[in-house]
Amino acid sequence: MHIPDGFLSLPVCLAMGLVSLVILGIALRQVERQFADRLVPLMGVSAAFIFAAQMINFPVLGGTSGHLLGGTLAGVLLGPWAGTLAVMVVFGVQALLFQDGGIVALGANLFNMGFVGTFLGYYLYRGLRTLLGGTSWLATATGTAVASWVSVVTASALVAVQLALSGTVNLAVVLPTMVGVHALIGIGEAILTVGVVSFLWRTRPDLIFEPPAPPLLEAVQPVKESIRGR
Amino acid sequence: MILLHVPTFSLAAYAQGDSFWHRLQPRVRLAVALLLVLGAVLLPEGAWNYWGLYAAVLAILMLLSQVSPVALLRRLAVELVFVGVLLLTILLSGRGTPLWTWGPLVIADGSLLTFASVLVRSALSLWVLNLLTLTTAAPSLLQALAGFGCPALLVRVLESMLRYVAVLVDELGSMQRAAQARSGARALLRWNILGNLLGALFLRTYGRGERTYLAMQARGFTGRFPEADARPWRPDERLVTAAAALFAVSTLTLAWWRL
Repeated sequence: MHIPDGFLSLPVCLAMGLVSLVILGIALRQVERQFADRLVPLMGVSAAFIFAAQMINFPVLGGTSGHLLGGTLAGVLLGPWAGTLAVMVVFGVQALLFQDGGIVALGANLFNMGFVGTFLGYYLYRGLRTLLGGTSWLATATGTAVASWVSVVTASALVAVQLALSGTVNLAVVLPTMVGVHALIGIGEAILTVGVVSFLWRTRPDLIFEPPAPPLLEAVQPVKESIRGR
Repeated sequence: MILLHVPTFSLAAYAQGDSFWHRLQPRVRLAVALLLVLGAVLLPEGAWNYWGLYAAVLAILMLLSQVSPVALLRRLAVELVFVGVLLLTILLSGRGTPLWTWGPLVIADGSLLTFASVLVRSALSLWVLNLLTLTTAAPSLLQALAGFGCPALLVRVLESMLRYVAVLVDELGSMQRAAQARSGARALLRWNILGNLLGALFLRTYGRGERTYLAMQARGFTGRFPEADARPWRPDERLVTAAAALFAVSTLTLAWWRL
């Protein structure tokens, strides 16, 4: 989903670049307030973690492969602003040093995958979790799965719209292709994100951003019920 | 089958060279590269002559910087494959008069022109950026970013991330091997193992970040970094940057004027 250079027109690049610059500035300020002098080491390793997680390729139909984008994962683990910053740093490094995604198109890539992927993913996850009761594993898992699928598909639809706005492709051709492929990639994203969150839920639930009720209570619950049953 | 793909080529393999290009400070190299990318990317469709000019300039830069053309081509080929999927949708988008039909697949002249233009643009910009990253070490590139007004805090995060990427990728690789050894499975990895793997990696990562922070604090870190003062631009560096800017602006005006 990384848009390379040469696909987008100047107005689209400029507009997306400006929007991303503003978001990056806000994210930086918010995270600085939250982490203070821990910002550099913690954001650095978190971004490195997202970068490493993106190196896992999984198969999609027809021999192509997709990889984790990690927006929702970053949002669930680090919160919306710190997650956005970490993911944006990853895409910046990929564009500058690894030629994955263009330099002129960087603004669009940051917006699609960095901001929409993380923010939409995070708030959808929070909303669903609250709707479904909030503290159970089922609510968290459902929220995570749906949020990661929807955020990947939305980001891919945005890519299609930007390509069409640039006059590179017809929307009627590119939208179904992009959304179709990413509906499959999104399933992989959802499985992996739920897998990671499930591991952390079992081992260190306090590390999940705005952690749900500690699992200790859940462990006590059946004991309480059995006592009441007598 | 789930694979771990790790970029095998090393960054900045030609950073130690001694040439005119290498003697320019990283800020100048970054500026020249960005100007060339902007110029090549913003040219109108079908501006073949101008793209030829850019290719010539890049070929001269490549010879000057003593980067091996074979190594560069190999990297370009890998990177263009990743661009390929999007390129195919452009080729088959069917704008203009059809030239060639095969079942539901139609290649029309309009989309062929867009396809070729986009291909040339991405190839040229990849060429520029590969030249830059092959000859310039990542830390100096990030310092150059700071010199252009990128927030210092962001540059520090980028530096700290680059420091840990190699460590974490190594760690991920060894965790993968360990998981395979324990499961004895033929398949490289299974989904449920992978979730645990990444979760464990996050735990280790987070702990490492905390430890690094404490170590920095123990050494008197207050959240502020001493800033290295950048060397002022030499006259020839100003000249090179001005020439690049002039080249980009003049090709753009000429090309858009004609159309």
